[in-house]
Amino acid sequence: MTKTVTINPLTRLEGTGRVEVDIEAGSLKDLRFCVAVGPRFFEYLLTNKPAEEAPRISERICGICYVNHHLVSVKAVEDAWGVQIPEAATILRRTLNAASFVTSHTLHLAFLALPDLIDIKERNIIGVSQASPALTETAIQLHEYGNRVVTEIGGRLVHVVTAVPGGMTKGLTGEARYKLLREGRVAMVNVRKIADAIIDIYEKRADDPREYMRPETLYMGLVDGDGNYELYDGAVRVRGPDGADVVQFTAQEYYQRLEETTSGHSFTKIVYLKERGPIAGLPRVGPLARMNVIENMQWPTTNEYMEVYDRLFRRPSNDTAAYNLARTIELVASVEEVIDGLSDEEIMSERTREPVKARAGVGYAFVEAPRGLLHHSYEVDENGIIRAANIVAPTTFNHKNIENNLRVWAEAHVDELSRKGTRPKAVWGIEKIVRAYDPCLSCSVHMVEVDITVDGERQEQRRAA
Amino acid sequence: MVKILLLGLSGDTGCQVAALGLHEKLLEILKANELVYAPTLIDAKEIPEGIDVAIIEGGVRTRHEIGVAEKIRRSSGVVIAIGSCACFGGIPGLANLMRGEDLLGKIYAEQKGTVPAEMPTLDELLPEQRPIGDFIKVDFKIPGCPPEVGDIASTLTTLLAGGVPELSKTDVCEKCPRERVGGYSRKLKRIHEEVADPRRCLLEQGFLCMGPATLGGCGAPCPAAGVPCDGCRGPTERNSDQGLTMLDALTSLTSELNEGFSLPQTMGMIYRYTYPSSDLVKVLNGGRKR
Repeated sequence: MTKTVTINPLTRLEGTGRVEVDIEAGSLKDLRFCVAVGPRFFEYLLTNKPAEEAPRISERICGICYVNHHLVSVKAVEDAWGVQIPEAATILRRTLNAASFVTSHTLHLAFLALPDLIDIKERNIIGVSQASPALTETAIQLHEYGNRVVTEIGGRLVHVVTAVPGGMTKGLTGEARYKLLREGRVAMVNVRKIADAIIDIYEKRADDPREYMRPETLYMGLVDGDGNYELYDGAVRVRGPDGADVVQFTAQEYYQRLEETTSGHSFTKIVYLKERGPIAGLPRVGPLARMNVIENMQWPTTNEYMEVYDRLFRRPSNDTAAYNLARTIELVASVEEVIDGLSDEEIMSERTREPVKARAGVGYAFVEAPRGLLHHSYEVDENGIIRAANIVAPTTFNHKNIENNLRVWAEAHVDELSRKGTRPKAVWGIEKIVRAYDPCLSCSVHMVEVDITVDGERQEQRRAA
Repeated sequence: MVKILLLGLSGDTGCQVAALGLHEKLLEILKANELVYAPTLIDAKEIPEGIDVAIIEGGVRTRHEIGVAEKIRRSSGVVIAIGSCACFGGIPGLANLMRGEDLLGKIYAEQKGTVPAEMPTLDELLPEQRPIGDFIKVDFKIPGCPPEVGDIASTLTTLLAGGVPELSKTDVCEKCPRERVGGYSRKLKRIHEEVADPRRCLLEQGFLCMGPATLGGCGAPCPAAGVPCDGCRGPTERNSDQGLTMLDALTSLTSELNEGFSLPQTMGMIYRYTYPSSDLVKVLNGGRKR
């Protein structure tokens, strides 16, 4: 007889999802990671729309990664139209993208992940705020800082508006820039406090390989011309679990390098490196992957923390536990990158955009979102109207490997999952792994809910939840 | 202690992220009251009974989500629809121009770069994206994509203090910093074609700004940042149909649509957030209630 343990809904993450574990005769039979956000068909609804509107429409895919969708979208349109943008616009966009990492990584680390990392009864934002009021205050201030930079450069908070083909509709000058620079000094102090607190937790953490598992996968992320850390431009580098280079490619090579397929049991598209196929070619993306594909980070404070990361996890690491520490290093980097961008005098230039002409073409783009690599491509007709769109979000890249990670974990913990007394802790173990990836289930774009036949009572419960 | 539920259906969690922008104020509200179910923030796995205030983000796209909405309605005193997906159907409602089953074929089987394997079963998918008010009674709406943080805060604090929340009675133009100097461009322009005069009304300059047809209260941040309002807050109190209101204004102002702008493009501009709940759709469906 098959016994199914269902974790529904997965909590403290973006969107709606669940995990189902089938156990038969004391061993793991199957495990499914299901995304249950109603599908919204953005790739379809972008077709027949003016391409210059795509940055404002497609960012509605995600309420957390909206900045990244907005930017990758405008880059794809500019690629299709053969548009170059003024230097100031590039700095504004880079700074905006980095600011989205400040907000998103703070949100994840302090409000969603920290409850798993410290010993508190009420594992949530309210519990953390009671156990560590000072740290919570620091996190709120840092989150607010990211929000302020996003609002100032993006024109508004959540669903920014300023990137249009040809540049940015608004610059950053005078008092607004000085204010953000001044506040940036406070943000540096705050990010150190948060990074120190998390490193402290990692220093004390027992090195248990079974806690999150160490699945050996490919890693995929952007690198700049020197192979260093890059969030807005550059090429996609793929490395193996041992750190060996597999391939490096540009956005325009998307269809030569990557392929998607569908799956009967997960109803999620699966993305893989074409040359390796749908099993060996599955990548991981996000903070851990970025640490594994880059040579170096470019900021002094970040590099201090990077030394700690290298001591604790030694790159390349396959340990899923490293995700949150990698995210912490990136949080420091994002604050430094924001300050770098704001400090650049070119950002004050009045020339932030040029009028441009629509033309027929296909445009491809990648950016790094906080959760990992993000791709948009559009086929545009001679009037600048989108005829086809393809969107691959970080969680689409990660989805299958999250499921595989959970499967190897569940195989090793099948006894704990089977017994009632130990089950809550085992269920928490599963949720911690899912959460480590900071999945963005709304972002998954074309994922569809899985309907699994169960007895009447369970179905009722499932509807209720 | 008021028991609060916070849940997203088919949407992007942006409304909840906007609410997080309340920061300390949100923590105060959460500490003074009891958050009983909110998968984004806390670990409760079952929707409880006896909810006082339920805040729902996102529209309805699956059969499962109808059940969730109905269950919440049964268990809750007050239901608030937060954001334009929940209030009007939102941007995902633009996919209603194609039926659900055709959409799946398009995305799963025919898309370039996808090697189709097994097709998903479709029985849970509804043919269209709908606002939650089509399935359950909604007591208050806080529209916007996302709503203004101030609207979220004032609605909650007013409600928690026993009052009745109210939204703006004006349109977006009221607070727009741009000036109307008179006269309109004969031709409709697209945002990338020309750098707009930063002081003058965008609509006068020929850019399709939804300001006059859109509920105010946001402070007009988009026109202030150099881009037209795209109507994310839905219709004003006076005009129930945002798209028809704008179309009416456009026909009297401009004589030339942009080349390449046919009906689907125009729909994406004037009904970007409200197509599923528009009067137009009701007329197309012969006034049938769904």
